[in-house]
Amino acid sequence: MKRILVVDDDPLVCAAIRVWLEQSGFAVVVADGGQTGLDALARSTFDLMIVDIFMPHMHGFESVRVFHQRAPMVPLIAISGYVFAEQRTPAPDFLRMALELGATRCLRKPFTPKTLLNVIDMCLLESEPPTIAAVG
Amino acid sequence: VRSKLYLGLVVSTTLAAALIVATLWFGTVLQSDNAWVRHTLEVRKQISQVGNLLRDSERGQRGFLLTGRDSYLAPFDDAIKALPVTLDAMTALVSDNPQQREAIGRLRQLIAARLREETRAIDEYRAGGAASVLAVLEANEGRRTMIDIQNDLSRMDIEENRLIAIRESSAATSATLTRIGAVAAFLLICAVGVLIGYSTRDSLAARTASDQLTKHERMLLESATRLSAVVETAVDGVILIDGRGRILMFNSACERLFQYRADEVINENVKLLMPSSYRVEHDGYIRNFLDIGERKSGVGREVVGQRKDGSTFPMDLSAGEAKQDGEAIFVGIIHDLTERKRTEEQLVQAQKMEAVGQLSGGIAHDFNNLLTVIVGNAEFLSEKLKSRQDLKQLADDIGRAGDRGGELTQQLLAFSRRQVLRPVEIECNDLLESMRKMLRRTMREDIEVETDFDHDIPLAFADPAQLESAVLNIALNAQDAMPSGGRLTISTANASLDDHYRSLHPEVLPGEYVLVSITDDGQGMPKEVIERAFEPFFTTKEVGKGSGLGLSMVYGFVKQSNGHVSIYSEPGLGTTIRIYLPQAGTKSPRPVVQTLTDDELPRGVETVMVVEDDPFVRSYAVMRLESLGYSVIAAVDGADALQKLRADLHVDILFTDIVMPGGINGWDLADLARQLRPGLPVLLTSGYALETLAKHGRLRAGAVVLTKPYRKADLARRLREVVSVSQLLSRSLADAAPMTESEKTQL
Repeated sequence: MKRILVVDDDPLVCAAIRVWLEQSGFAVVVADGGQTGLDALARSTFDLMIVDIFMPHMHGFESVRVFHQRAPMVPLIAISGYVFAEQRTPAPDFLRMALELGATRCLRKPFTPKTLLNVIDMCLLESEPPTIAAVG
Repeated sequence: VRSKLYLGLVVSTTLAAALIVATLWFGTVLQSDNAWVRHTLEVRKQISQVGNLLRDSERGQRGFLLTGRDSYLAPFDDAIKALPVTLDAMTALVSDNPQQREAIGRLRQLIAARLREETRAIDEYRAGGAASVLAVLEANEGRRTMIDIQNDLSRMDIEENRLIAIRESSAATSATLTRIGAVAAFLLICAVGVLIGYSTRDSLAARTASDQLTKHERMLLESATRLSAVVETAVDGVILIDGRGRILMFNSACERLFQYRADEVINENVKLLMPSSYRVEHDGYIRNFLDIGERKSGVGREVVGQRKDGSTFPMDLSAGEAKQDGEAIFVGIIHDLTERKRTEEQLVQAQKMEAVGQLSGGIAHDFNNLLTVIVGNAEFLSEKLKSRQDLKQLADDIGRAGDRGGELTQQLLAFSRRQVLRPVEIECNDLLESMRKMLRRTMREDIEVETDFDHDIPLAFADPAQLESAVLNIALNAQDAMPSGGRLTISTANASLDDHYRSLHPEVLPGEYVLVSITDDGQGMPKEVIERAFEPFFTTKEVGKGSGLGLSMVYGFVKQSNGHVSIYSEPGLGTTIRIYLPQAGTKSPRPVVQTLTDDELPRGVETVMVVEDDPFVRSYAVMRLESLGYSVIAAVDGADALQKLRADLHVDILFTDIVMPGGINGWDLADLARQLRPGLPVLLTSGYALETLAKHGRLRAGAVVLTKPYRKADLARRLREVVSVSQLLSRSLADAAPMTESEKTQL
């Protein structure tokens, strides 16, 4: 069973994602903050992480960087309800920025379970070792 | 008598000079007065910003203490970073005022203390949990510091208000000085008149026309003329009334202000120039003046004037009293305050929009979290409820409602200028031309969509998708404003926003812009609606007919793009919304060029004859061909084209529309032209779908047809295509090779 870590400071979001993912056969651990998430990551291993960029402004991206550094091989999906555009400037795209910091994929809130599951499938597929080549 | 005359002359000339100087000086004071208002409002904005940041920090800290979650500290951290910046900005602004500078110094200390207190509580919480923090909070020091800070801030605010009053009263003082000058000048004019009268009578009685006296008379008359010229050319209005309020004099500045000619108001009561609400008050005012001698007139008063057409305007009125033949006369100096009022209103409005924007941006984030749960869980439930269609329906409804909430949230973000923009260099004419076609399809049939493009506009720098949605939003509003049909005109132009424009719209950066105007001839909007049109959720439509976010999105998009948007509307006549977008390359922080540059397109040096009946499309084609290096001759229809071909003009390529009025269509023209000029390369163009043309037997084999709308790149390539085909053919003709039937069809 694939293990997924969900880090989001909104308990409702955590609970919703947990239900969606468990229903699809994943084992889910939720954390309601950066520190709890890192603690969970230290205690056990995961196949995938979903991390909310929960702070406004640039240092919100810190969470993506830290989680990626702790577990560089684990695919990371960054999610956020913030739109990282400063006033009066053409915005740097938050998606691109999160990707540069190590996220595998990004999702803007609100998203549906279907979208999330699709993205998870893609991430897991890409991170799998090329088993066919090994067999051949 | 003679010495009196000389004295009168000397005094009047001196006073005239003094009056000119005073008037000029008064004008400069008033100019700097406007700048001062702006400066003061800027300081007050910073003061309120400090207040906001402090509240943010407190909110963040409280959030953390309540929940123990670090995430709540974000506004706290941000406020700590932003406060010194704002305080520095304030210090710079008030550097000319020692009192305010000192106040800021005190404020800094208080704020530092307050932030230390907040930080201490946070540390306590981290060390000992919620219980230990209670002690800190209960000491309630924080509250006291906060109150001190707020008192300081409001004191500074009051001080700024006082300063503006001082500056205004200094302007009023100079107004008083001018007034005294004016009154003196009037009395002088009267005195000189009397003197002339006496001297003339004396001279007539004493002896007949003496040369000496005639000279004096002339000098006196000149002096009087000079004085009235000063009054006439004064920038401010000068008005003279008698004790009963009858207008005795009305200078040309007054004529401009009130739109009456002097001869229309002379001997009329001055009440004519006041809105009715002021008239009663004025009666009492003059009576007071006469009976009790109460002089309210020493300072300028802000009153409202009424023009001939009934419209009103704010003005500063300074009045002074003088005696003429024992009767009281009053001199009023009138300064138009319209522009300054407008500046103030614009600033207040801009600040309000800023505040609402920040608020909406914050709400939108929370909504996105909530919507994730609502929409996501609804979809999840819907999947699980496949066997219970009735319940599944309910879950789907929840999902759809959530989706609509999501759309609204996106629009709020657009207004709060926090949407992700992908600005590129845009050819506005191209973008709007393709929009025109889309609008023609989507708008009601009784709405005509027209375009009027300036073909020399530079590239704009903005997000094309957002520009489209802005124009669409405005067009849909326009449609609603034209319930019984009308005309929508989209036009482009170069626009240069100068300092004058900035004085009306203080938030605008002066510079070169690309202007996109959307005009309808619908109902128009009253002033109260224009003022609020950009506010989110403000709508004049029935409940449920519109979210009230359309124009807010336009506003947010344009502002975030470093542009400017304005509304001009005449009730009953229509509305023009102008969008000013920055030119590409002028202030584009990260230019992302995605358009194919002209260098990559095949060019040519031949002369192309363009035949097109639609003047807009014609000039559009001419512009594009010229930009590709071609020389261009334009013809409006087939007959015109043939006439020009017969006139022996040099033409290398014929580029003609297929469907044209006037009996000669593009195919006919191509045939006739080739009879005149065998081997002439022809490029045809049509707005009709190729299938339709073929069905009517009109699409002939081998013809090169460019379908509208076409891109510049298509045009460039197709032109080279027809040229190379015809060269190929003329070579084979030169080789005297027999032409096959199929080759003939190619022609």
